[in-house]
Amino acid sequence: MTISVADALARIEADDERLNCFTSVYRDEALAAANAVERGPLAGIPFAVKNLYDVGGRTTLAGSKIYADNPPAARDATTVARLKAAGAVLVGATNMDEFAFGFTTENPHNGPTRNPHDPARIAGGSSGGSAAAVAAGMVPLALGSDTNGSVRVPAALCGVHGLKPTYGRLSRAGVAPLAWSFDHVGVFARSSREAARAYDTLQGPDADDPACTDRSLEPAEPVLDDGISGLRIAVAGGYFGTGGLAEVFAAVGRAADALGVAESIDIPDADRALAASLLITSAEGASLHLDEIRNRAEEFDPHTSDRWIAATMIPATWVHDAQRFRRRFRDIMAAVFEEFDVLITPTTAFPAPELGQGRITIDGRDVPVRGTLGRFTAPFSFIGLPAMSVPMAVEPGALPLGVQIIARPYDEAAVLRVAAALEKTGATAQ
Amino acid sequence: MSDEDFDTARFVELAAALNRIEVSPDQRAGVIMNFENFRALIDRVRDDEAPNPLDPIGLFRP
Repeated sequence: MTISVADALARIEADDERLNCFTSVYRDEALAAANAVERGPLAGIPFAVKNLYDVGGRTTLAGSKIYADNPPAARDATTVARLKAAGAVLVGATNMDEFAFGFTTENPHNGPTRNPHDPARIAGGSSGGSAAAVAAGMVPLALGSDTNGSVRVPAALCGVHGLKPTYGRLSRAGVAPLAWSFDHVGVFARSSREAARAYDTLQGPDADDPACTDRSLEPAEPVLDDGISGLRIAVAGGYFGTGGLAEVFAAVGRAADALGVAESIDIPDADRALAASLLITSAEGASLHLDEIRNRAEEFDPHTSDRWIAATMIPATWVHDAQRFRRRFRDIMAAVFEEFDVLITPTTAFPAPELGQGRITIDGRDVPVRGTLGRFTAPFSFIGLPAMSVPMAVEPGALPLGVQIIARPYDEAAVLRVAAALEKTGATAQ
Repeated sequence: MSDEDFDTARFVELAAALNRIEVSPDQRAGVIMNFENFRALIDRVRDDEAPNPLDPIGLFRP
């Protein structure tokens, strides 16, 4: 992490008009904070946060027009405060899908965030501004949130590392929610080491988030170089080997070859997990936003307002059936983790689509871009498993592709060890 | 009652009234389509395996 706060601000000034990663830049505060930093594991490191994180004295927008009327946050979100306490310096807030309900960061109020690898393409979402800011070298570190894939998807499309720890591992206090039983705080970084260092800084109990674990700290950076010896790793086949373009499965194959992974395993009912995840997420989100849907529907993103209204009508029996299946899927995955410690899948079914692209052809079928971007990520956040997207090396000029590494609950260290080992093989984007 | 007997448009109208949401004429078709999408999701989720009735489904933790 070598970039200074002044360098970060200069890069933002130079490139953000083109890429639209940031919704606010805290130039004066950042320069003052940089001058005041003395020490810490992240001393002087500039970072950005998705604009659903509370920043003391600023209104938290969550990508919306509606929240612009809200009063400023009284204090920083717990995770923002922890990064600052470690010496990191907040330089700004980043663009996102409205209320984190999307996968493209084509925000109607702020404009779309553009992919640094091809500005005619999306950055992914919903944390697209954070992912693109890291990919463009504006900041080495950024925070996002992940409900069904909103850290891992943009990480893959922008070619950076995106870590979503176990549900409840990191505090969500001061982070505007989308769906309370799915929302996770996540980290974007340029390497597994930088991701691990930030993740270690963010750990710890927090009484302000009822879901935050009181487990003792389990730092990942000290074990990062332990390698993969002793870890049973498999490529997830079946559902995770279909429904995407050939290049994403080829990337998984390269990762498996580099790691010497020969085993594969089918995960039953992953399609059901995706469906149940989208259903419960929508019902929880509609419950949270019911007042705004009633009174200010015309101010919502026109891409999602009809879906929000429909989500208020989901019958309770559907939600409960989906929740019961959620428990069963936990048992299914627990059985998988009896056999293997770590799984590898594609992160997305395709590389970054063009801005405004509604459909894509996969296996001869015309499928919706927005509805397919979470295909490989949502089944794992559905039951809170730790997962990370790691950018794979691609041919010069090709779009980034990510592979997803998944482990059992609270074993983020295994995820990061595999990511670090993969980097050492040279198979990842450098 | 079969699926074919279900009138989604009528249900959406009633559910909107129940939730005190005004659905404008230009939103109506989109709301109906999205509700049908949710209906397709629950059709994919449901199966014949009986769930454990003692499972505290509201207390999800990993």
